[in-house]
Amino acid sequence: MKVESNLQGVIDRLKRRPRDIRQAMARALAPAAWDAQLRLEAKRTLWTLVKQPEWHFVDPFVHTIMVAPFLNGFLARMSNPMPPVLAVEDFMMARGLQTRALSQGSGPTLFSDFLNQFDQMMTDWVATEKRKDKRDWDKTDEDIGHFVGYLLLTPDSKLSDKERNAKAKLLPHLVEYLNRRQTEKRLNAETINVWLLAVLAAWSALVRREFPDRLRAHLGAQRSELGLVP
Amino acid sequence: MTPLSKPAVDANALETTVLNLWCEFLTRYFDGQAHDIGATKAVAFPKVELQFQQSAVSQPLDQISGVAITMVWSEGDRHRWTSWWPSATTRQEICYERVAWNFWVRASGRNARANGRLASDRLSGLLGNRAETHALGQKGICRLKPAAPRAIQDTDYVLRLVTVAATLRYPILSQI
Repeated sequence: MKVESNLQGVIDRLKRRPRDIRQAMARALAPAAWDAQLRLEAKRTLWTLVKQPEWHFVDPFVHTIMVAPFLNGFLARMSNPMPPVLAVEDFMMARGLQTRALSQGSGPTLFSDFLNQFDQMMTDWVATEKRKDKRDWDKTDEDIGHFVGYLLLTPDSKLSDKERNAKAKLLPHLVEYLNRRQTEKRLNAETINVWLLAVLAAWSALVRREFPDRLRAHLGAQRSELGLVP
Repeated sequence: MTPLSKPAVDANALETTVLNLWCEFLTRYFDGQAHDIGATKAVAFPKVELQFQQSAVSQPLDQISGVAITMVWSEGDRHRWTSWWPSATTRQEICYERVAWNFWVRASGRNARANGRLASDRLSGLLGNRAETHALGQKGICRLKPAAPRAIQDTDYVLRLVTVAATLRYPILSQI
């Protein structure tokens, strides 16, 4: 009878083991393997929590989901799709930066979109809430809105005394209107917070539950590739 | 333990049979009465509104029942495997499927925190009690592994999550 030692084989195998586990971990945590599942889980969770008037918010939330590689694993995030509520000062700064960029020959800037929205809101305010007098009779709502927007976003130092007085009278109404327009038909902060936390909790439970099985499966696959019994 | 009356888990009506069994099982406990849980006598259960999947909870919640539990099938790989079950006359292929559910416990109105906490604690405790869940096991919902309740929000509006992993066991009727 011949007795042979397999010790070297065992040592070699043990040396390969940490590398095998790292590889299996990387495969088990590949973002592509989780992306679809996390999106579906988020959608199911949100559909469970929403009330009927909030249904149309679900898809915008799901569209913000991002699953990307991060260190040795992946990062998944869902964020609030609602644009931030902007104050008059934000619009003023944007107008200033855009004016400077345009004077230097730039095309449309990053601010063009929401400055257009601002102009639209001013026109809407004129159309729906402004008390018009004889000075407004020969002007369109767009003309008046454009002038009111100019008053609001131009620094006081560049306005005449008459314009400054007009601005001071209009400002409280316009600030209130801008805030109201930007916050109507929106989810309140508490609901957004609950939704984000609920999806995070559902994801956490899903990953904790699924990861061990996936790692085991990838380790088994590696053992098969090496011709070892899985 | 009283056996459940709904049909066992069926491969041809998987979601329906599973949800029906859960509905019967949970309705039996969450009725506002006291029930024996295993060897513990007279455990008080709150009355809750039970909903499944994407069904909407009655609104306003605080004026209807105060507490609602919504059971949602969780996404997962739903790992499946089969085995053959020998009997005296024939062999039956049995499918095992690993699944998970999220139970969202919501409470609103007076004593929302206490009610939400009580409902989620009772749910987690009930599902972890083999003596009680044996009724589900007999119908094909086996090896329940509930997690401890997680508080998502704990203000006037309470939201808690109880996740439960399980294995479904049902015959595949593919024999000639």
